[in-house]
Amino acid sequence: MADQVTALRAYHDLGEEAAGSGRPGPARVSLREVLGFALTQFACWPDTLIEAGALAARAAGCEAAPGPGQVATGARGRLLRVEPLKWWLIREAGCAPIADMPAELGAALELSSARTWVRVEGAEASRLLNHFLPLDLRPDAFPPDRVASTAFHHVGITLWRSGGAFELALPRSFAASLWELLVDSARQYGLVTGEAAYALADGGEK
Amino acid sequence: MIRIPCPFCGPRDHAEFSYGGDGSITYPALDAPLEAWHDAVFLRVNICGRQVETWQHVHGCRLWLKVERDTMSHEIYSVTPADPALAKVLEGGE
Ligand SMILES: [Zn+2]
Repeated sequence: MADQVTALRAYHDLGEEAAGSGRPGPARVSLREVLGFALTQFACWPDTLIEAGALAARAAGCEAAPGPGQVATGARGRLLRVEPLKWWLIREAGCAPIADMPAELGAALELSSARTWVRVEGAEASRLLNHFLPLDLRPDAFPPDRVASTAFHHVGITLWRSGGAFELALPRSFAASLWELLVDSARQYGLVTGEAAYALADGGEK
Repeated sequence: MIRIPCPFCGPRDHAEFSYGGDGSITYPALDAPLEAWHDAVFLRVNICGRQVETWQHVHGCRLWLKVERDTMSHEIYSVTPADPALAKVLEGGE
């Protein structure tokens, strides 16, 4: 598999603590780009939903495909139901490609470089995100394993909660701009920036 | 501010949607006379009250929706997927 293209490589030279300024005391937000994942989209037709869902679930190693707005974690990957007829499968980079789906059933599309993954963590993570996102992110309304797509500064993004973190899948061409907005706004809370390597366990139950 | 209860995503801010216009128009056949198309496209009633509109949840699940809304109060009475096949998918739960 080709190297994943990322929009944020230039920002990593700043180092772990470089952005940890603007506020005394410990950083209450951390922003990390998650690297080393593969993203495959499964799309189907209204009358093949159950079959295509079963195929996606098998690819992830889940018992069943998740329903609307839900994330399911399996032995081989994480499956997100992002649209009525679409799932996203997140796996480790370099894993075996998905076998071609019969056209009558749907289509599997490699999207790894289409999205830049940013993990937002810390005591003020949801407050920071609510500067931009019109979603109720309180734990009761947006618990772990919930996924949603919404608008961030007029750009459509997808996010889910995994344990204590919010995981943001940003369209690659907008990622640098959205990252700058997050960094500028997070300075009031104190922040650290950096990278994280993809690991399936990160998004599991904590 | 309008909040639209999307059948897939749940209640969402209208900033996530794009307005698609009057949902009650029946367009003429493709080979209908020009006057029929002129009337369908340009002669619209400006409804004061309850009307059916189309909206797309463009920053959410991307469904096209039929929304029944009061143009005076912004109250929303019903929201359904514009595509009956998708309505069935969502009713089925899976
Ligand atoms: Zn929606």
